[in-house]
Amino acid sequence: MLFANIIEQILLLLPLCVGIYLSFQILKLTDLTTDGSFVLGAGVFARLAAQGYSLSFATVVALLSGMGVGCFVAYIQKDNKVNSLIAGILALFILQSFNLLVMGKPNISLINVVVLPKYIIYLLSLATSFSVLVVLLCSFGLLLRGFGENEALLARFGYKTHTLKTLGLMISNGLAAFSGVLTAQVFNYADLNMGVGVTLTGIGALMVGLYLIQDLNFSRRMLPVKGFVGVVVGVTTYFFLLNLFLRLGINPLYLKLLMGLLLISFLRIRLASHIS
Amino acid sequence: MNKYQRLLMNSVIFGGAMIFILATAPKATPRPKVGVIMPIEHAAIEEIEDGLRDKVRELYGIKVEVVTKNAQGDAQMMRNVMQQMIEKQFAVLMPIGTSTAQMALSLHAETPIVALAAKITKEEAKDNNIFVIQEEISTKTHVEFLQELLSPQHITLVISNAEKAFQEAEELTKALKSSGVEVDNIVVANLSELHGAVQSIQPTTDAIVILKDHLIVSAVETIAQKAYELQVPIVASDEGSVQKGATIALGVKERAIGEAGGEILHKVLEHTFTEEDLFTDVSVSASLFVNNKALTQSKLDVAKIAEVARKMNLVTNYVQTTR
Repeated sequence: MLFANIIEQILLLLPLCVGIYLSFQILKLTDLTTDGSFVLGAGVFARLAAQGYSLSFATVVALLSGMGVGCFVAYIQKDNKVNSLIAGILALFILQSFNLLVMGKPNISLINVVVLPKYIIYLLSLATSFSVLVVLLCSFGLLLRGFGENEALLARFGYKTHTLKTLGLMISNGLAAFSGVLTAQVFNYADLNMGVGVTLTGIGALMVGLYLIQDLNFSRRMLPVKGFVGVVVGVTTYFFLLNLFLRLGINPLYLKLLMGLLLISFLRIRLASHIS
Repeated sequence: MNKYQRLLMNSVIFGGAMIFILATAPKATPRPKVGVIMPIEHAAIEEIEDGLRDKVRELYGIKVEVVTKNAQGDAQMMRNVMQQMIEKQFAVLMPIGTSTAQMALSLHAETPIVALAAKITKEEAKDNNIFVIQEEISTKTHVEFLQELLSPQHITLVISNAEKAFQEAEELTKALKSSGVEVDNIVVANLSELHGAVQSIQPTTDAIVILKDHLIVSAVETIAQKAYELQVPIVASDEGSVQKGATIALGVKERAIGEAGGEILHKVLEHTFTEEDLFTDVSVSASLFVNNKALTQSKLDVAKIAEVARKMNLVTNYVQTTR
């Protein structure tokens, strides 16, 4: 039962974490918009599904809405006029109101809506995450990695770097929205506040994962595989620890403090090992 | 038999006797555990929990253990907490709030759920193992109360985008507008916006209305400044708001929700519940909460309040205020 719970939690947040990996590690952009995209995806899906639209239509629209957010964030950053962090915060700010507008009310119940069986949800999560890995391994993925490593050089070679940034952010926010869709189906509701802190959870899990697998050797071409393994290991570790702490009877009130301190120690050790 | 053999023999006899006593002693029946899940840290939610604990203590003493966990506003954490309670075979889950109750339902567990202060419809509850304690004062009663108290021409409603308050505000706005009252809605997403937002309240307003809205209630003092400036009352929906500076409230004591939950819990544990227990409405025990200090700063007077209370058959409580 414990492992089934952990696996469920991992699979629900896996697309979001892969999206964060894409923006944070590959594109080297700090995009906090995923908190809002997650809610937007869940909200759009829940509203359409509750109104009787087919689940596939609701999912596609939710996914597109998340991608739209990515496009918007990229537009704010156009010509490097606004820093990615500030752009993300601004977009998140706008999404607070926009999500409410889209949902119509702060909480949409899906209790009486027939949603996908859980195993399909899990398969969809895995399939989507692996598809992104495949994309990262192909030439388009190489360009995205090139953008993160040296945007100026890529521009000199004549590539449209803004288009690459836009596409990258569209994928990452689309993945966040997709996580929202899956979560809404499993939780049976979409709530305006359900995305609070998911980006930080994702970034935290990513950091831990990358730290744990730093000694694994991969060729440069296969680096996205290493990153993907890091995401899986990180998100698994995060939820395993969360469940373990709760099982040990630690008050949830102190859990975030404990997880935060653990994360800081992981980051400090990682930094120290890099320096040495 | 030398002294060592005697010692060994005595030890064997003593050990055997101890094992026999332990094996045959009546085993203490494990206390049934009840899991209360709070979505966030909040005074009103704690009041509900206090009411529940007191009721359980009154009915069972220490025979039932109430375990409370706070999910800190984190949906994943909330789910984890509930799943572990189910695994540990808690007798009943008692989520507080709508999204918490929805989450409990999504787990499809056999553990009965007694949802407190949750807005779950009969359709949603159908075929689910859930008992719902609702405390919502109907929109009709709310409008009637405002009409009796103020005969308003213009009302300002200050709300946040919280799940429950938002829906209530929509219904109230609609009902007030249909009775010919002009309604201004001020919606804020966080506390930092509140001060600026209340400055836009029109001087023509007859009252500022706030609902059972955690975000707004936590900053009643800010709204009270503006109400004092305009000399209009703040009409709230809970005792806590009146304690913090609202003028008057029509509502239910939070403790009553917990106590009603305790009674349903008792029936669930004893398997004595009936179909009527699936939905319990504690709003029938609504009363008036009045802040004497704030009353003098608004256009309301005690005689008028007494008249409304008599007409609507409400008990009036004069509240100790922090302001």
